[in-house]
Amino acid sequence: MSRENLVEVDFRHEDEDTLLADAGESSSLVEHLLTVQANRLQAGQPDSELRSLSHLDEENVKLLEHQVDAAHRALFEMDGKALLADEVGLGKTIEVGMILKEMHYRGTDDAVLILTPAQLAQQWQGEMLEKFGLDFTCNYDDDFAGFDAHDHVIASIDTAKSDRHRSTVLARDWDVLVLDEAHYVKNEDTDRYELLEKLSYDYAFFLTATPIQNDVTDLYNIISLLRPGLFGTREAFHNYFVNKSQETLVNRNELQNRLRKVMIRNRRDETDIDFTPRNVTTRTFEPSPAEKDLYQSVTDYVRTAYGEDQGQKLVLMTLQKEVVSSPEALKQTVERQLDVEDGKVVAHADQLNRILDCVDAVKTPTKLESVQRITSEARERVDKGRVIVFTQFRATQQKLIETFADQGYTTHPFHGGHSSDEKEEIVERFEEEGGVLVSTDAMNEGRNLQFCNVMVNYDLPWNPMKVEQRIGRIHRIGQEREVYVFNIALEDTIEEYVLERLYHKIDLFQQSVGELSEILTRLEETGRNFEDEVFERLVSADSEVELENDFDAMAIDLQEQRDLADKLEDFNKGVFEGFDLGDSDD
Amino acid sequence: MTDAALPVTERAVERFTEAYLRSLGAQIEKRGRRWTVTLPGDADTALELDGDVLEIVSDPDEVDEGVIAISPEAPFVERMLDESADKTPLGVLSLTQDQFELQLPPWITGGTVEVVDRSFTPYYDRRALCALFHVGIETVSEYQTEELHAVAVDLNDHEERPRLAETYLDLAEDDQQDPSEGRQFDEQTLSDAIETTNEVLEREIAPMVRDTRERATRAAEVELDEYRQFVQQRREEIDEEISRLNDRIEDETEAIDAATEQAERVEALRKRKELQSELDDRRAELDDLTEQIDRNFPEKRREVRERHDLTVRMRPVAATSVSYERGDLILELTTGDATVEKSYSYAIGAGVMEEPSCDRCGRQLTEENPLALERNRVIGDTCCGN
Ligand SMILES: [Zn+2]
Repeated sequence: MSRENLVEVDFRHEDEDTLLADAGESSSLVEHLLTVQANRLQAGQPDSELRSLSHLDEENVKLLEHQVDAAHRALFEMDGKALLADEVGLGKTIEVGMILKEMHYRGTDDAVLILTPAQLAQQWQGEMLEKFGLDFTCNYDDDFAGFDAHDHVIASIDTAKSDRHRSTVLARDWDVLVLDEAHYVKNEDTDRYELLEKLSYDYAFFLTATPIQNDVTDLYNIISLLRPGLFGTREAFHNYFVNKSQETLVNRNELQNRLRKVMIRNRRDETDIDFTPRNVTTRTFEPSPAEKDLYQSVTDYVRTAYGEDQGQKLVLMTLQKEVVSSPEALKQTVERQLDVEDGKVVAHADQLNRILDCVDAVKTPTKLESVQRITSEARERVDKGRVIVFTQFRATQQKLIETFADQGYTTHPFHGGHSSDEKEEIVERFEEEGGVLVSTDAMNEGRNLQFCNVMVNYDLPWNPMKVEQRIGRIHRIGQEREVYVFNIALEDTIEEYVLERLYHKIDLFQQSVGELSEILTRLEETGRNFEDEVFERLVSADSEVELENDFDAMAIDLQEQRDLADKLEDFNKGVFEGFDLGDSDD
Repeated sequence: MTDAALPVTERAVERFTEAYLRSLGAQIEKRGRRWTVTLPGDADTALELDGDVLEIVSDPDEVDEGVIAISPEAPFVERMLDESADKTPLGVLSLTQDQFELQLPPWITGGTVEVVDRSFTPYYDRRALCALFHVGIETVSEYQTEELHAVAVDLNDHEERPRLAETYLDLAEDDQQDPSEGRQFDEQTLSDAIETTNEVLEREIAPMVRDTRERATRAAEVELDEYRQFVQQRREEIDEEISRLNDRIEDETEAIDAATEQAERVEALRKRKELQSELDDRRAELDDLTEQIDRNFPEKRREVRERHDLTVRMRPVAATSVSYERGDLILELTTGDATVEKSYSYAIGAGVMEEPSCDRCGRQLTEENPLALERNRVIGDTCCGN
C-alpha cells in the first residue's frame, strides 16, 4: 500500500493550555508524582485476574484450563463483549458461569438477562445455581413476575419477544446479556434479531458452536449485534469474504484476524478432556399377564380421554408414564382423578376403577425383580456396591427404597423435597456408606457423583435431555472408571418404543449433552416438542403396525436433524480451521 | 516512548491511597486492613474524612455498612484518582548521583569482564522534559484506542531519552520520595519543550498510526469496492433496459409503417416518442455511470475515504522538568591478566550514553556481543573473542 493511497490523518494536540497555565508556579514534587501515578492508574486496566475463582467450590464445578482462559479473555481482552464459539461439549455454559460469577464479584451484574431456547432455560438455571451459586429467576418459575420484577432472569428467547413481555424487556437497561444458541438468531429479518438489536445492554456474551448456518453472512449478523461496525456494512462484508459465483469463503485469514477480536473458539482436539467409556445395556422383560392388562387398560383410558378432552393432556401423559414406572405411582394419580368434589361426575369412572383393579392384580412388578439383579451384582463387584437408581416418581422411589431396605441394602433417598444442605449430606453418606441411592430427577447438575459408576434408569423420561442429564451425573470429567448404565423396560410398552425406536436409532446414549441439545433445539425450531410428539403418536395410532411406523418416522426426523447438525459442525470446523487461540493483542 | 499505564492491582491501589492521603496531611491509624483516617480541616481536597474507617478489600461490596472500601474500581478510590490526576500536573525533579547507583549497560554486565572500580565525574547539568500523554486514535472502522505514553526529551539536543523516561516512571512509583526541588520552567520554556516533545511523540507513534491507517484504508477500499460493484450491476441493468427499449421502438416503427388507419399511426408515433424519451434518459444515466467508472468514482472515493479518516489526539496530562547530571563514567575493568581503565559518556538516570564498538572489527557491543579485553583493547566477545 503506497503512502499516498492511505486515508488522511489528523494529528491534534489538545489541552496544552491547561498544562501551561500552571507554569512558573512552584509545586510539591511529592504531589506532582502522585498526579503522575494517578494518571497512570487511570489509564491502567483493572487487575485482570479472575478474582472470584477462589470463591468457587471445587466440589460443585471443576474448571478446565480452556474454560478459565476463555472467561478471562472474554472479560478482559474483549471488554465484555464476546462470541463464545467452542466446539460442542467443551462447556460454554461453564465459561459464562465464570464470567457472571466474576461480574457479580466486581459488582457489575445489577441486571442480567440470559436468553436460551425454551427447553434449555431450566437447565441453565440449575447450573448457575448449583455450580456458581448464582440465583436466577426463570420465566417458567411459579413466582416469575415479569422481566422488570427480577434482576437476574433466565428466559426462553421466544417468551422475551412475545407481545406480552417485549416492551418490559426492551424498557430496561441490562448490564449483561447472555444469548445461548446464538445461531438461532442469525437472520436479520426475524423477530428475534429485532429484539436483540433493540435490547439495551453493556456486556454481552453470545454462545454457539456453529456460528455459521447457511453462509458466512450469518457471522456478520451475530457479530454486528455484539460489535456494531467491526465488519463495516453487510454488503462490504459479503463482497469481501464471499466469492459470489461459487458461494465460497474467500480471504479466510483476514476474516479470522478480525474475528479474533471478538470470538473465542476452543477445539476438542486441543483440550485435555478425556471421557472414560460408557456402557449402556437395555434389559427388556416380558410383562406378566397382570402387567399386560394394566398397561392395556391405562392406554385405552388415555386414548379415550384424550380423544374427548385434549386439555387433560398433562395428566394423561403422566398416567402413561406412571404405568411403566410402578403400580404405586399410577395408583396415586388415578385415585386423585376419582377423588373430585361431591356432586361432580367423573368422566370414565368405570375405566379408572378398572385400572385400580388391575393395579391390585399386579403382585410383584417384573421391573422390581430385575433391578435387584443389577444391585446384587453390583454389591459383589463394585466398590461399596454403589448404584444410583433413577425414577421420575416419588411413589416409585418409596417402593424401591422399601424393597432395597428389606433386602438389607443401605439406602439413600434423594428428591426435590430436601434442602440443599440435606442433599449434600445424603451424597456424602452415599459416598461413605455405599449401597443404593434412589433419586428422582431433582438430582441437579452440580451434584458430583463421579465416585459411583453404575446407574439404573428404572423408568425412562421421554425427553432425551433428561436421560443425558442423569447419565451426566456420573459420566463426567473426573470419572476414572468405565460407566455402566442399565435401562429397564417392559416389552411392547411405550418405554420400549422410545428406547428401541428413538433413542437407539439416534445413538442417544453416546451423544454429548451439547450434541443432543442441538438436535432437540433443531426439532423445537420446526415447532415441535419431543415429549408431545411421543405422546401424540402413542394416542393417535390405530394399530400396532401404525405405531411402529410412526415411531420409525420420528426416528428418521431425528436422524435428519442430527445429520444436519453434524454437517453444520463439520462446515464450521472447516471455516475456523486454524483459528488461533492465542492472544489477540499484537 | 514508554507505555505508562499501570495495572490496577489491589497493592497499587493501597499504596496510592496511603501516599495520597498522607500528602494531604492525613492521620492514619492502621489496624490490619482497616485504617481509621482523619484529614486536617484545611486540607486541599474535596474528600472528607474524619475518623472514617477505610478497609482494603478485594470486593467493594464486601465491606460493612459505613466502611469505605479501598479496592480497584471502588468509588472512593476513583474519586481520589480523579482528584489527584488533575491536581499537580507540573513538577520539577533533579537527579543526582547520590540518589542512584551507577548503572552498567548490558554489554558490560553480559560479559565476563569484572568491573573493579567505577566512578562518575559530573561536568554539567542537562535538562529534559518528561511528559505523560494520552494518545487516542479514532477511526470509523475500529474501536478507539486510548493509551498513556511517557516521553522524555533532552532540551539541548532535542533527542529522546527512553531510559530517562523509565527512570522517571520508576521514581513516581517509589513513594519514598526525597522531595528535592529544582529550577521551574517558565511558560515559554515549557511551551517550547512541549512542542519538541510533541514531535518526538508523533514520530514514536508513527508505526502504530500507520498500521491503523492501513487498516482504515483497507476498510475504505472494501466499501468502495462494494459501491463499484453496485454501479457495475446497475450499468448492466441499464444495458438490458436500453436493449429492451430499442426492441420496443423497432416494434413501434414497424407498427407505424404497417398502420392503415390514421389513429393507429398517431398512437404508434406517440408511443415511439415516449419510448425514445425513456431511452434517452437511460442513455444519459448510462453515460453518467460509465463516466464514473472510467474516472474511478472520484466523488464517492473522496466521500468514503473522508469518512475513514483517522484522528489522532494527543493530550499532555503531566510534565516534569528533570535536570540530570552528565559527565564521564570511569570504569576499571579486569579479566585477571589484563586491567584497563575506560571512560564512557554517562548521564544520571539515563545510563551510558554511547554505543561503543569492537576495537578490532568495529562491530557494535551489545548484550549478545559483550565487551571483552584483549590486552588493553576492548573487543567484542562474540565477534573477536576466542
Ligand atoms: Zn570484533
